[in-house]
Amino acid sequence: MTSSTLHPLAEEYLTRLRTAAGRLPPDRRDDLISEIEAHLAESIPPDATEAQVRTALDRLGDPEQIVAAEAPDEPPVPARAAGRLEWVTIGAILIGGIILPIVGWIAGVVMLWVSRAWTVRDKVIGTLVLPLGLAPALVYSFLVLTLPARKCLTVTRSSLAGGGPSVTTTCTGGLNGWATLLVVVVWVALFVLPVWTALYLGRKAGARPA
Amino acid sequence: MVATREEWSPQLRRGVLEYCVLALVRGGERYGFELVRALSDVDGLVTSEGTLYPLLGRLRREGLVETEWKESPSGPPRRYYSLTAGGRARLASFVEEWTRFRDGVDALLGTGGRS
Repeated sequence: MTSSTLHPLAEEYLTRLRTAAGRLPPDRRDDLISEIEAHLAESIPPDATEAQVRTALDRLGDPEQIVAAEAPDEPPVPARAAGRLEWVTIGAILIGGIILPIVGWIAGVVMLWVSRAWTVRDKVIGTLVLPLGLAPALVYSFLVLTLPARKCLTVTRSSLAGGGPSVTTTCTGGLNGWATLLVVVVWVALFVLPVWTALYLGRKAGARPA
Repeated sequence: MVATREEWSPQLRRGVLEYCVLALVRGGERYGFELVRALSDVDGLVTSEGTLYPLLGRLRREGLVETEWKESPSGPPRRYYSLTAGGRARLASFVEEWTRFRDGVDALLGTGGRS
């Protein structure tokens, strides 16, 4: 948001806050951090002196204390790796739509949305990039590989009226150069995007407490 | 056992702080930083501004206030807080209770200030 223009001391403060907030549920943590980010942007003018920044940060208070106020009953929990359930969820989203067409993917999405391991933002990404996981890539591959190959016929005629021979090339079926490029780009994207999303969800689940 | 100042002071603050927030947005919406600064400018009410944001979050989850992010004319977007009907009712009942409580305690302590 505005963090690029923040004073280095404020940046360092935010880093400490993010670390301390790691134990909060994702939605509460994201909420708290965006409020504090907005507070820093309001309380520290772009041309603030170091003393002014320090005063603003002192008034804001210790990040650990702020997080404790957000979660008075929750003791600090170290980040854990993604659990078995999270990996099953990711697997279902990625290849569920292939094993059980459409239904398998929907099951994965339902598991994603009921899970507490991801934020709403992660869930939206997990659902929309790409719907049905790798299934569209598979269907697309089949379509592409069954396209008729391009055939070109070149005819050279010698001209009786002088001048060079005239050459005509006629192509039938298949695709021209640009269309081929487009087909390949889409093909790669259909594979890369779902895999990227799976890795993203795995990393995000691993970064959060249960 | 009688509590020391360090023990009762935060408890007293915690008890009234959320109603001070509700009172601040009674007259219309205000954004987070504005609320926090208004509270921290009251002597002795707030020790750390940052801990007010969790309080604002709790009031929102309890449905006493509602919020909306809006673009600001200068700088980053601001989250505006406004009172819900439930918040208004909660504040009204606190004001009534507080007045009774304050008058009673003032009478006992001789701090009523009526001269």
